[in-house]
Amino acid sequence: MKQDFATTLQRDKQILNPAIAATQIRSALGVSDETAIPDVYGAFRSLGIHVFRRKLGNSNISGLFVIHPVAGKCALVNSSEDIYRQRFSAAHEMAHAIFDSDQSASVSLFDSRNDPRETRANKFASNFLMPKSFLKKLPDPKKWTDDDVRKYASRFKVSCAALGYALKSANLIRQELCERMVVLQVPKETKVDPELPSNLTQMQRERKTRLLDLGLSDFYVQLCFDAFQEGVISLGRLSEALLCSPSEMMELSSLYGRSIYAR
Amino acid sequence: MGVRSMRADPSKFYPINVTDTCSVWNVLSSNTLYAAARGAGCSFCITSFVQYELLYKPRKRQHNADQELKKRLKQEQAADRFKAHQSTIDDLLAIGVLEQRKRLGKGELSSIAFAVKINQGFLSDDKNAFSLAKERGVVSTQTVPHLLSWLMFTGVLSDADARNVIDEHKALNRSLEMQLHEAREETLRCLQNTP
Repeated sequence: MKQDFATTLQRDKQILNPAIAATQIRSALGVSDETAIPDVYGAFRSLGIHVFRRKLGNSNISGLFVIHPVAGKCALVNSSEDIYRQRFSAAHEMAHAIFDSDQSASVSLFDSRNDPRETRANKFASNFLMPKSFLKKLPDPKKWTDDDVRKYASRFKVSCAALGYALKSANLIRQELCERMVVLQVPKETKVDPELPSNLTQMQRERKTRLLDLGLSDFYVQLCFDAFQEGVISLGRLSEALLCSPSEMMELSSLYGRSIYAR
Repeated sequence: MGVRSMRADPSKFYPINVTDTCSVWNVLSSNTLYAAARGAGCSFCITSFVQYELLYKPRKRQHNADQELKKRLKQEQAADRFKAHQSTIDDLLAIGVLEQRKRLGKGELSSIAFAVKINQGFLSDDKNAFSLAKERGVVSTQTVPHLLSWLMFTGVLSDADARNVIDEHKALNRSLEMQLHEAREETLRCLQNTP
């Protein structure tokens, strides 16, 4: 269901508390506290916020949020970063969409701990991806092995660092243990990008990865083809929207199983 | 959407056309079609923006089909055909197409504006561009399948030639196969009904 839940939350005084906002949004999305958010980008879009991902030259930028005069709330996530890190960045940008829409734009740098808005966005992202109530139900993290840390990080689809900080923030571990967790890594091959699902063939994966690098998500490409199919935009406009030449358009339509000349 | 359902009178074709981005490639995709069109007195021109999109816009990848089509366009331009003309903002404003900029591509919009300005035909294989051109009073709005129909109907191309046109079109990864087949079949039907 398409809803501008972010706007609804803004009217609510509880919005001042990022943890409560995160709980409410999870609840609105119908995701229980004990489940990882499967597709954070899809969740984002279902709240009425446009989310884009693309490789950014400046690796110091995790993401940015702008209010476009026509499109409305838009977030961009740096897809150069690790898959799980991108999930956190997306949730972080979601926080800006909720809390900071009085600002026409905000840029989130990799390290911006001194800015209260950034701190609030990080708290929201942490609670959105790893609800405190569920962290408290986990076996005692003080007894976790390194593999346990990786296992639970994988379960939430977050980095070990994000999990370590969340546990520390929930007063479930101390600083030293947090520091031990922060340096651990979830093996790259176990991470699945929701926009590059494992059922793709090798060739499909390579092509879709190239598109993602350009900022063309599955969702966006399908939306453009839908607009064309419905007669809202022309072939030339479709080609511009998908940043491709007429020949590349043929390739793209075939990759997505879409016809440029529908009946 | 494409132009599949746009029926056209195969006995008529306006010979001078401002051609939009996709249609340039559709015309040039078949040497048989293009040679026949030229022989029958057709001429095509483009706007500078369309030329930029086709020849100069940086692309991540170069497809073999694109290389070949670019080569053909450059050859034609060297022979003073497919000439590129400037279409200005004033041209766009004059016919009020700027409000359509979110729906149509820049190549299509500039071509429509230029066709209106020089009072010549507009060749496009896109339904939206086709409709807007008609709305804005372009003297004649046509498609590449219509061109094939006309060339068959007037005896410039045989059915075998038309099949060859479609094969050549397909070989360069163009997308009008179905529309060209339909145009071919429809023209054959018209020819049968012609006394």
